Amino acid sequence: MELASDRRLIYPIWLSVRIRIRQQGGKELSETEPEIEDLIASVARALDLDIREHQKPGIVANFRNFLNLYHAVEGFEEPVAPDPLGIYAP
Amino acid sequence: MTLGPAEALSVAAAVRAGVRSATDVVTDALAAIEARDGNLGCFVSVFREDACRQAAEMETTRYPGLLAGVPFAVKDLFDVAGRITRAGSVIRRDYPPAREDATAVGRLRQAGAVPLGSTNMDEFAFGFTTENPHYGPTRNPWDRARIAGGSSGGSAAAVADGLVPIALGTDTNGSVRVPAALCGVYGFKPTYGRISRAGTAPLAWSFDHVGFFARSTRDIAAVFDVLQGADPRDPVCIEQAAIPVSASLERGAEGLRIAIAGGHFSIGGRASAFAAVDRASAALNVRRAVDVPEAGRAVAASLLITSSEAASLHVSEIRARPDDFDPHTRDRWIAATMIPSIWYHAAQRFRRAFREKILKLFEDIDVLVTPTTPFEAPLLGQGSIEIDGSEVPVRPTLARFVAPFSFVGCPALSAPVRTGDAMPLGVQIVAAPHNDTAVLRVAHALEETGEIGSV
Repeated sequence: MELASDRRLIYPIWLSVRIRIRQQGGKELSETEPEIEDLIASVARALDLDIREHQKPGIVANFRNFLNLYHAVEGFEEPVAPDPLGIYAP
Repeated sequence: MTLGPAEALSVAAAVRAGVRSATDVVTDALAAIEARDGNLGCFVSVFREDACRQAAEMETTRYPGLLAGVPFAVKDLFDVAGRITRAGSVIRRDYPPAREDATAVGRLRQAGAVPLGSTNMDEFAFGFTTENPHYGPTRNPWDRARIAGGSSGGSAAAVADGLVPIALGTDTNGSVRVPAALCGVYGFKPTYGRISRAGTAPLAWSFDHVGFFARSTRDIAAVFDVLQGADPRDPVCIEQAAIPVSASLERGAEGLRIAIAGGHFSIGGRASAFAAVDRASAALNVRRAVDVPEAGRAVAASLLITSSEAASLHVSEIRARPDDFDPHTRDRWIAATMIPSIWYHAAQRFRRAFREKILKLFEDIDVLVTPTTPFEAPLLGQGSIEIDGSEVPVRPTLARFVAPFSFVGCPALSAPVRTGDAMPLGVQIVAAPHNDTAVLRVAHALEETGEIGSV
């Protein structure tokens, strides 16, 4: 289940990446997907991380992998409300 | 392959009876490491003088302990007093030496065991192959062209080669069970919170478990009894009295409801992995199969959370010393710093839901048996492997059968299946959280049938 409020928290760059991915029906994106690169560059600046040119393809590929993992997770049936005390301990 | 020291309990019995001195045991083990480890790469440090000193002190000890004189190895992320804990990195080489032992190291030492050295691992425990870019690979004792598995590969290979009878490791998504299976030894990851993690370098705090390797179920049970119990130094080490398991082994599998895991756990691997489970189920006379719902989703969620937690722990080091990381780990963690919070929290919410499904499953059964890994040890440097006609990446695929259970803290043990001349494989034995005893009883029953045992 994805909460409607979650969608409003996604900032525009990320939303455009997601729409683009969905439009492509899950096909592999190009190595230089500009929206993902822009997103990574923006966040890297905010986190004071120095990313060199040769690192970009690897970081983009990893980010895309995390996106795929998220897609594999989302949509689950949530039988209980999030439990602030128990949610983080296995 | 030549076996060195015998099982831990046999060594300790001989030392307590005065048949062998602790000094002789330790000296022999150090000689074996010197003679054989150059080809294996299990150890990154050997504590020669300290080990000999501790062994000599034991000669005058009146109560030498359950593990008297037993040599053991320590994954290089456990603190050992006076030693630098490098966690497979070069960054931590500059850290000061540990002021005290990790709780697990200290408890083994208190029981009379002697740490001989620290073992190789994936950098910061992030990986499944122990192909460390700084300290070299650990090679599989059964075929030195192949990986030992990881991230606790040095510890697993050291036990498999008989350099030590027991070794400590850690298991976040399978880092004890995977190398145990690929090296042909027992590897046990107890329930989350039953063994203190104090004095270990963390990878992902909500997953990290201390585990260990041995060559028999009796040794596994004895080490667990020594290690378990509450520890105020680890906030997740539950305030629960230790439940000794050694005395329960002889009860075997009698009365336990055992099932084979189907669905996710019956596809996505090589035939040999499933044949190992068939042999175990036949030996236990188990015919029941159950589905573990949403196991694939659990693997995805566990990898997402692990990467996010690991990246948050290491981001300051990535900023300061990016060139001192394994480039693959660094770039993965940089990407992981950018995981939106809703992805992380979705995975955590799913974790709660999955835990409820697992607890429900274990209302009907006591123990579940699955393959540990989908295939035998790949070659060093091998990036992909063919499964059912498709090439799949080696590293994440090694987590396929193990990650769902560490995800929710279940006790899980990989038991080695005898495979003749072939590379070893493991079967995974799992129970509900805090039912560690059932896991070890079934493992012991299987060992008694002769179908499993260190190969």
